[in-house]
Amino acid sequence: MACNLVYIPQYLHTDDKLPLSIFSVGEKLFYRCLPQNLERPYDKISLKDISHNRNFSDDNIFGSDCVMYNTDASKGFEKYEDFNFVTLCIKSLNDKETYYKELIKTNHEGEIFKVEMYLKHDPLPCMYPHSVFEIKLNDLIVTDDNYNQTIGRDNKFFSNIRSEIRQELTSIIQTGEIDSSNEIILIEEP
Amino acid sequence: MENSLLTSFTNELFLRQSELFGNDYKYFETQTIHTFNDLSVSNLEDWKNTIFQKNMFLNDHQIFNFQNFLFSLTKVLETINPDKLKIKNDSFLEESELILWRESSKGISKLSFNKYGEIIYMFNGNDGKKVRGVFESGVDFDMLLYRFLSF
Repeated sequence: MACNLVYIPQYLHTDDKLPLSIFSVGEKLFYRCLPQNLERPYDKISLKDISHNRNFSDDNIFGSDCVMYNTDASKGFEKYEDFNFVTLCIKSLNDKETYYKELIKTNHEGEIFKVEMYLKHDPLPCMYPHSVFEIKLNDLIVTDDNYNQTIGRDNKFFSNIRSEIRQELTSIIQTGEIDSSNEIILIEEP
Repeated sequence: MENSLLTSFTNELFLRQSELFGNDYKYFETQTIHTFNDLSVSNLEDWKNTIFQKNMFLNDHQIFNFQNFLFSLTKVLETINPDKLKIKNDSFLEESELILWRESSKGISKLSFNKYGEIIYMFNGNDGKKVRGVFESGVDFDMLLYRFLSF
């Protein structure tokens, strides 16, 4: 699909460019957010909206200002004027050259759930650098449409899974580093 | 918690804070009014009531757990300068969570009181270290408070 938003520079249009599945150590990502959400404790990240822009390790062409463009024609404005952004830097990658985390959780009935988080380049027609932290539950990608039936289920077990995902993501924002190697230390006594 | 253990950990906290806030601490003895997030701690009820008013969604489980936390905090405040605790509160409506958090030079520690009656301790270090504990209402709040304040 072609980009029809004339205010977005041509070099950001996806056109015929293919997604680039691999990331690089040192590459930056930019995350747009409201100023009040920049305040700690960073816990207010909706798991339905964890979009970033990657910069392909090129600060000149894919700078931080790209993340301020509105790519939704129905909203009727060009830039998110009242927003700020945070810059993340990739510190380490897995063997597929992306960020990847896996959680294996067992509920009270003994059911085992596999939760995966990974960084994925996901170009939009008007924003080639667009990337997402995608979440999978038992190999099913979590989307807006299936959120309440997957990771968004209203019970203690899934509330804890969401909280743990947020802790991973907030650590990334806090440190400014994307690092797959640090695991959460779970304690059973205070 | 045994009184001796409580005394021990409040003493340790006092020492840690003396190191961190040595310049401020020398004025502590002369202060007559202490603040706790801009509220007097001469009556922790004020702080509790403000949090309850700000977070009308809190259910009975969350209120019960938060009151137990306050009970432990009251004991600590007999010895620790409340100005230095810097406990802040926030809420996350999407999850109906009350969150207490504080920041130190090492990172951010948080206590989340969720609607299912759990208290979740989280620490995110500035060096990337992450610690997490999920506890039920029967948890030793004195020890949990100690962990929360120790980082």
